[in-house]
Amino acid sequence: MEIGARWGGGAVRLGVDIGGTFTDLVAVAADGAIAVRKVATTPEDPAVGMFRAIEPLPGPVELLVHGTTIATNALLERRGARVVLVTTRGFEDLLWLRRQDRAALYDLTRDHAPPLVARTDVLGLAERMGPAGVQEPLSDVEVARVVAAVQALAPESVAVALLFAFRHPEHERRLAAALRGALADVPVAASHEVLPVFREFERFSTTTVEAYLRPKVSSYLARLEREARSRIGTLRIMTSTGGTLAPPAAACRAAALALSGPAGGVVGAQLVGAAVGLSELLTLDMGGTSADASLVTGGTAVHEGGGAVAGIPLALPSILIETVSAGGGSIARLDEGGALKVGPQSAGAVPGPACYGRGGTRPTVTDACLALGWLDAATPLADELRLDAGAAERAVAALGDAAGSDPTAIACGIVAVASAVMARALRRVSVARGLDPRRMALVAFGGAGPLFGCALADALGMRTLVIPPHPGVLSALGLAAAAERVDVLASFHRELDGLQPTDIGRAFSPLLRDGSEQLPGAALWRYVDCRFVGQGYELTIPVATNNPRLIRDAFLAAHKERLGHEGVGRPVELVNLRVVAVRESPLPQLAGNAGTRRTTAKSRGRRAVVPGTGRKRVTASLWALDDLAAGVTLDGPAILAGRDATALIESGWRGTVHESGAIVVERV
Amino acid sequence: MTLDAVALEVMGHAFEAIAEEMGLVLIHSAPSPNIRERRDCSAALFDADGAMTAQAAHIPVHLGAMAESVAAVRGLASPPRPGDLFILNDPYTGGSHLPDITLIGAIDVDGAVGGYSVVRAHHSDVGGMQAGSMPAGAREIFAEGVIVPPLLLTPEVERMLLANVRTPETRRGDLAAQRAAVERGADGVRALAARYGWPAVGEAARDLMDYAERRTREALGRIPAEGLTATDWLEGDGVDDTDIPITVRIDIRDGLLHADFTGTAPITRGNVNCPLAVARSAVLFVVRTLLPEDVPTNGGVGRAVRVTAPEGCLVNARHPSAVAAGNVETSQRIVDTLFLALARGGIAVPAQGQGTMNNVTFGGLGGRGSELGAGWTYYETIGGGQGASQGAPGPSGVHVGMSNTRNTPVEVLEMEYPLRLKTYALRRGSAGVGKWSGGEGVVREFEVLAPMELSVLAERRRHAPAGAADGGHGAAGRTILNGTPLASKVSALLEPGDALRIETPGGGAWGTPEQGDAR
Repeated sequence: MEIGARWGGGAVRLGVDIGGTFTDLVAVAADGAIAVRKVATTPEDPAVGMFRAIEPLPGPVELLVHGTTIATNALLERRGARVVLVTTRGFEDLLWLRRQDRAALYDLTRDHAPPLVARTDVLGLAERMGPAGVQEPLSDVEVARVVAAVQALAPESVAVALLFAFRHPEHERRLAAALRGALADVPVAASHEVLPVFREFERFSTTTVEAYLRPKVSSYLARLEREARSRIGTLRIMTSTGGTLAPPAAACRAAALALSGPAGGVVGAQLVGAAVGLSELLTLDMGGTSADASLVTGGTAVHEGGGAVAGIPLALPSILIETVSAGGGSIARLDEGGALKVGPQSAGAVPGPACYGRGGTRPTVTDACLALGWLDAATPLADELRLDAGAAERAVAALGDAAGSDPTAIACGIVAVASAVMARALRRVSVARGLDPRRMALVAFGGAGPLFGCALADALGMRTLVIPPHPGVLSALGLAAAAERVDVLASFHRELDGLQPTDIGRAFSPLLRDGSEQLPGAALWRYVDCRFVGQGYELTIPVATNNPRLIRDAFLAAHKERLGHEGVGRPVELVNLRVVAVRESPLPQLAGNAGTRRTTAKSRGRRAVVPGTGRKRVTASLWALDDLAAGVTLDGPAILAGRDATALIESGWRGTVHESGAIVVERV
Repeated sequence: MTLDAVALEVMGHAFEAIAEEMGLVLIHSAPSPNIRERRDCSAALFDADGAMTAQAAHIPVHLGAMAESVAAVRGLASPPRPGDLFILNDPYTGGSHLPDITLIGAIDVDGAVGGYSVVRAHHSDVGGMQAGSMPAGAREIFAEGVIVPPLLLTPEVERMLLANVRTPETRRGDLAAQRAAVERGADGVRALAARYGWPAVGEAARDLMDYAERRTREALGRIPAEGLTATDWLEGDGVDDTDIPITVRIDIRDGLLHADFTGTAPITRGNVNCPLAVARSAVLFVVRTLLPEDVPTNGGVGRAVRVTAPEGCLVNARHPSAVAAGNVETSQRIVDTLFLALARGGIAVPAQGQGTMNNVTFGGLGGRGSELGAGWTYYETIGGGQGASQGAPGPSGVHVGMSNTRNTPVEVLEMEYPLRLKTYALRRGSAGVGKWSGGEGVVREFEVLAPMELSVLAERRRHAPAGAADGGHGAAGRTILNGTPLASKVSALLEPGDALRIETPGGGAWGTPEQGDAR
């Protein structure tokens, strides 16, 4: 599937998002024009499909930014390296002890995901650092003993994680150097290099993830680079922070690729928001099996230091993303108490929803959308998949029979329940950060997201919805536009009151140096994590000053804004320092895109649809989503059918096509 | 009219989302670590009749227990008016133990009381004879802290309360966070009313409770039982070290579970007593574990549950008995006793888990090695082994039963207090052996770096967690000071160099080991 006459003509920057079913490409030409391509993913070797898709490009590709699921899938499928972990003696069980809370409050049989390391592959090292430095020295004999023990286990990768290494890394450094000398081809990840911050469990877990992923990620990236050499100027890899790294740098930050895929979507949403002049955004990326909710405030994606992937805690800085099991393929069923449930089971790509005609018989969200007339069976998905309306209606009707309601009512029900699940996720990401969704705009994208935008905005009391141009491939657009970014951080645990500006300046200087060495010419942004002494949570705030008093004021203001009060008169302490080095990319010119190349100003027909809000059929106008001219007004109910996604504007909402090609939909 | 399949699910999400929001507002704005980090708090919504429509899941110990708080407020001589905000912590009128302060907002919907928005949080000090308000040796409730009966929360009441606690500024912040959470709940309910109309929202709440009751009765209906009894033991009351029996009889008829505590010991001199509301929470927790996970947590579940106990017995305590440990340890033992009884009826329940929270409190005395000086307190609870189930081993090193609070990281502990950890590990060999083995307990060994006071409130130091279906017992826990085992509940003065080793109990196993099954 291709959109835009320009595909193949002088593409300069490419964003490539490889998903489970489709590989999406967005090409940004020298003049900023955008072209889109969607091809089937080649699951046995995703790179094959990607290179095949860019084959027809005659001109040189200056830059290719790749969003990859290789790290995520290795965690989900547990296909990483065999890791040996060396840790402080007496604390070998830390990965199993976690934070001692159980996996489920009421299901007493459920356990946490087991660590990525076998317990027999954990070695205790006789040494101990404390808050003030060495408590038990590390002897050369002990280093030699443990190196030999690691060698005897013949690991594919090694993690070194010692207590207090975030502050006193000397023991970790010595051991890592000895291991690197002795095991030439085995990667060694040390916790003070991976995540030099306090809280041992999260640091140890993250370091183990890095060791677990590094062999697989680095060999994938090396091969990609070899293949790309002849055809592409520069290859960059998207990380969980929403910024990109060069492949060699990404290869030793394998754990930072865990959210490489979804991060592109948030960057894309941020870009579209900027194009239409909105900076406070809730974003929703709804795909086949799940929906990702995220947040942009002040024009910047919100970052978090916590989180977990596939049940494994991973504390690297990353864009905030909350995933819920509501996608086009989510299966609807009745539970034993007579309530309608949607998900978490998904029909996936195979067999897929009933309407895919690949053997699926259970009704999914996509089947309900088709039965309600939101999707058009006459238009194939991504040029190749024809939808079988009869199969969708049969699957939905069967569920309706079981529930004692007619097919239309149950189809409405399926979309209403899916909306409720997503609305709750959007509420959680915003409210938990003290942000009121009613003062934000919703950006709905992914193949299915724009069908649910109005319903979700209604549920959250939001008055503005943005449907991006090419909503089905927004992640790839975000990749093409993403900035280069390196995050460096260091522990700096001091009360603000006792500090001089020179102390703070001196503490920041190695981080600033590191940032600019890794990314020459980058803009350097400084942040501190701080809290009231004794608090369990830190707030990350940007600081442009070394003055402790001004930092304190900024912290109090942020605390009041996020948490509703200025604390309790206790002293403030710094915990970590962060430097983010950013080199912005030339942005794709969304503006002007529609004006010159999009011409449709008329509806191409009408169709009876059942809106999500009611059960009576109404007549909706039909539009070609990808060709709408700027300035066109779209009164709900309207269906906007595109090649990579379909949007629904409900009654009571009115859309206006912005010159960027985005549609800004407002409550009437 | 009853809600159809769709509305049931959609409104269920709507109510639960409001309760969830209330909890988030509280956790993210409360200044005290006990609420923010350990999440010892709960939020719930009630309808105008005082029935719970939704509760946010934080820790089970508050499960369903806030209904008593709403009942206490509704029972006042002058009934609640729209917009009123009440406060209470009195265990004998709507509370659980004194540190749990509950705020109850009467939600103003169109000039009438549309329901109640309720937030309970464990405050780390409410006065009394010892910092932390969890004194091991209390013999009357008056020694445990300031008692607040149901009162309108006026600035005067707040001043009175704050004048009686050791850390008034933190309390003020925690109360402000609770108030904000109550308001968020009321706003959420009003927004629902504006969207769907007030009558529809009220009806939805009633239907959701009917739905939860239906699911609960269905689940209980599949496991009828008659006269299942069990007795388990508390190891002393903090004053006296003798065993104290808790006895329960369970009958399940027509999908209704009745737990009767006749035969349980009378109130004790120490503070392991609890009000019936706490016993009821423990019974509700056990019932909740028998239900599918997606059953909504609301008042409908409780309609299928009846709890009785003789007036003046340990689990239906009378004023002025002390109750601080009842909430944390007796509640655990009630859960264990119920599981024991259910297992005897052939009902598939897990074997016993560690059955204690291992409450450890250190208090500074100043002197050598102590930069903090005197007057600091550090409180933690330690996980242990979960009991095995039919078909699954018990998880290791987790909180079981009525608690689910998180640990304090080693690096945080050592940076902030004059304590050093020698080891923090799973306790190998503590798990019960069987077809499915129990979870392992935990070893946590402290080295003391400054003079300090120690108080340990624990259980299962002599009565090991039982296995189920002839599975092996988990190992009993041990509290060891410089090589010498101590009693379950103990206070001591510690000197620099002292080594305190806590070994928490392992979980019981399920079924006898078959050849090759033993782990």
